[in-house]
Amino acid sequence: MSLAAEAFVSQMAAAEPWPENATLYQPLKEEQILLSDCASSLAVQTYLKMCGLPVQVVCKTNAEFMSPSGKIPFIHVGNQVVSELGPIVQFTKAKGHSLSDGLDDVQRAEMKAYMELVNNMLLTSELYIQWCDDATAAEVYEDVSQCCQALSQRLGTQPFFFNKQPTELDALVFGHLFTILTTRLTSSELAERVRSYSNLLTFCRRIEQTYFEDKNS
Amino acid sequence: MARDLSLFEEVFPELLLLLQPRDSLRPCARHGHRARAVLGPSPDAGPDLGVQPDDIEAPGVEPEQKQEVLENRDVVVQRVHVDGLGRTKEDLLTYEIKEVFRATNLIDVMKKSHQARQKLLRLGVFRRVNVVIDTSRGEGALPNGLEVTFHVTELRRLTGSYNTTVGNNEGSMVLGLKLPNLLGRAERLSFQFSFGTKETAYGVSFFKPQPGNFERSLTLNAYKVTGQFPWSSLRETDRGASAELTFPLWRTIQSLKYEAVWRELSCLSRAASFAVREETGHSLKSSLSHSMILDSRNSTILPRSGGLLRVHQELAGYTGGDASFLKEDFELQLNKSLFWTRFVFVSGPVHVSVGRFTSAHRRRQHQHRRQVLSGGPTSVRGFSMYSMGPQSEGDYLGGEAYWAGGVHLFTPLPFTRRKGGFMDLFRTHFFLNAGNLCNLNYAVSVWSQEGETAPALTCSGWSSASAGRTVWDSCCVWGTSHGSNSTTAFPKASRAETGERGWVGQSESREETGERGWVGQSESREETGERGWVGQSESREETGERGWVGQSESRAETGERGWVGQSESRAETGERGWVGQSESRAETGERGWVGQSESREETGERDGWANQSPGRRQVQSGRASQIRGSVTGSSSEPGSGSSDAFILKET
Repeated sequence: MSLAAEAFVSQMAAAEPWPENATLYQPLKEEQILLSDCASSLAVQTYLKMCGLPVQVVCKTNAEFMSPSGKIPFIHVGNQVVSELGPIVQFTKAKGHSLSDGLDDVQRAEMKAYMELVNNMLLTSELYIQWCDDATAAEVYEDVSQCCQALSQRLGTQPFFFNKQPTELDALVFGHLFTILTTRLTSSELAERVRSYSNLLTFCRRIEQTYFEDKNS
Repeated sequence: MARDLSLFEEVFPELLLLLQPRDSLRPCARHGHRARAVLGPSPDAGPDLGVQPDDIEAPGVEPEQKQEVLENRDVVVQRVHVDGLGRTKEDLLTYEIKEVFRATNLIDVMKKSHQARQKLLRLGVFRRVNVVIDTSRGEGALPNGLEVTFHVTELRRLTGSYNTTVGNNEGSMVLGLKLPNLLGRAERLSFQFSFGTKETAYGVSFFKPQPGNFERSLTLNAYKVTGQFPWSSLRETDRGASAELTFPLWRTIQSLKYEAVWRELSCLSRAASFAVREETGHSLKSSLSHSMILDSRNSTILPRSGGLLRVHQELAGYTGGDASFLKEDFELQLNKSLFWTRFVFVSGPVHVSVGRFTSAHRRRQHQHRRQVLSGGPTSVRGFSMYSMGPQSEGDYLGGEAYWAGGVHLFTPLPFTRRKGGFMDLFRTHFFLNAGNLCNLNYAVSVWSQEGETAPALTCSGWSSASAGRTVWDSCCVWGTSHGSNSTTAFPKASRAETGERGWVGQSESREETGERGWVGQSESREETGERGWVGQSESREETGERGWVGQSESRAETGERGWVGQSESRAETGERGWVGQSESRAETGERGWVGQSESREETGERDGWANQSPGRRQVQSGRASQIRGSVTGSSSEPGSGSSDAFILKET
């Protein structure tokens, strides 16, 4: 978005508190949604849960057409419609909820770098798995391994990527890894590669238990 | 006979010469160029009976002879030729001209040949048809035998047209290509391209009449239309194909059509309202439709007399596709000429669209609210183009039902007395238009827990599925288009605007019709005409109706029943559950209402009730501790005043 448009949106957003009836739209879970879209949607849901903002998930077949940018997921808050994790993070920041306030500049830059890493590698590999065939499969799996290794090294034994507090990076990583681990694909090579990093597994499990288990209880 | 003569004189003036008895041909032989009668377009001059100054010797005798000719001449049509055929097949023409053989006397031959000529022109394969009637010659010729010859000129194989049209808020350029008489039996293949300020369309159409019965025909169409609707912030692209069968029945023209359309909607701008955004996407519609037209007007453009009745219905969903609805359309137009040669017509299209959402998959509901659009310079004047009815944030959504009517008076332009000329094409137009467009109310989608839907319209004027009452007169309250609950016949418009739907809470309908029930309301409730439900605080305040959670006094006063707390009445009447009556709810399969979170989960109802009035919330807290199914739930939460009521009794 252009600078002026961003400023305008922030001002509009800051005017109202988070309403009760915020909704998140995504395609149907069982029959329609794609691997990459599922990962993105889960990342946004996790992020909003981490911020403590209630949002209701609605599945609609025409979700990708409803979205203003054509990408899923998008949220409908008050009378504004925002799509994709990046703009949603900015939108919530304008409303006063932010996870990365405690970070200093260096850490924030690092977080952005890791988010780009996840977007470039994991997202691309998911897209590849969805659409393409096995011609360059070996490269793809190699990329995934490298990405997971970097993430695993950064995480170490900490509960979250930036020590005690969860940030949007945690949400993004959880979204992608959880989707990869739990979606049944024709070849489970991708899931195997991710599973080989045990601390990422425990990380995913921990976030699932913290933020998603209470919904089912 | 006098009438026959006038037709005769009008069309075949020179024929008289030919048909005189042979001995009288001599005087007319001087007019050699008129020896054979050619039936072409009737000349402007009156009948020329060939009386010339030098024929004056027996002026009085000729008319008598003419009459003799016409009355007594008994003829037989021996041969009919058609001259000038190229690709047209002959079996097509035999049907049109076979009537000529049945003529028994001369006037009949004239008439039937004229009719056959009209029929041949109507086929759309000939540019010009001339008829020549001559006496039979050659072998086997009878003395009273006749030969009829049709001289035809076929249309070219490919014709084109280019027009510009201006109308209905847009201008467009239309390019057409036509291949008439493609395979020899009056088939027609045409292409049309239209580029307009708001709409671009192109299509191909194939028309095939039944040989022998031109009124019956089959039309196949394929098209793509892209249009912009700035008043709704939508862009719509339709790609479709259709097959239509047309046939006459008594005095009407019936048509059956199957249509399959792939419709794509997208927002025109980022500022489109969310209601419009929800409708974007792709959808498929496959529908069957039927229409009946009874047209007795004398002209379609500026009729002076007669009327038009058009009934159209369309059913979608049973042959596949996403859209599922039933649409009804009536149009009535009456024209009358007033005595000082002005004319007036009264027209009234009424459209009622009764739709129901798809069953089976509640998640795949497509809200086809844009079934009907109204307004604009050619329908209800006074509104912008298609800008009548429910709207959301400035975008007009269209609706499900409308009616529109008008009284028009056309007079010639003032200060022009001269007949003929350019000014004759214009008229002064006085008009009075009225109309309404709104949404109907449904209590359907709430029930589809088992995947079945039982549409029950609870809007005014329609009976519920069970009660069978029809209160038609309540529909006939005309009023403004939206926003005023008291005047319109379809007050649901306001609900549509706010996005509510049926059901709990629609007080207006309840007041008006005295109907019941909403989701889950048994027949008994409907019969008793009770209403009210939990959660509709505004309606309760307005109407002073009863029963909602916590309004025990009003319930006592009005004697209505139960809702929260009135367990005995519930037991008596067997009505369902409201707060606290979990087993009765389970038995009857009704849903939960305020506060009954368990039942709501069972039936999958929405969360909307969570936000209902504080009274409900209180109740909710009371119930939360009740165990489902327990009859003697003894929770007495401090928040809920009438907590005793929650103790269920055995029903």
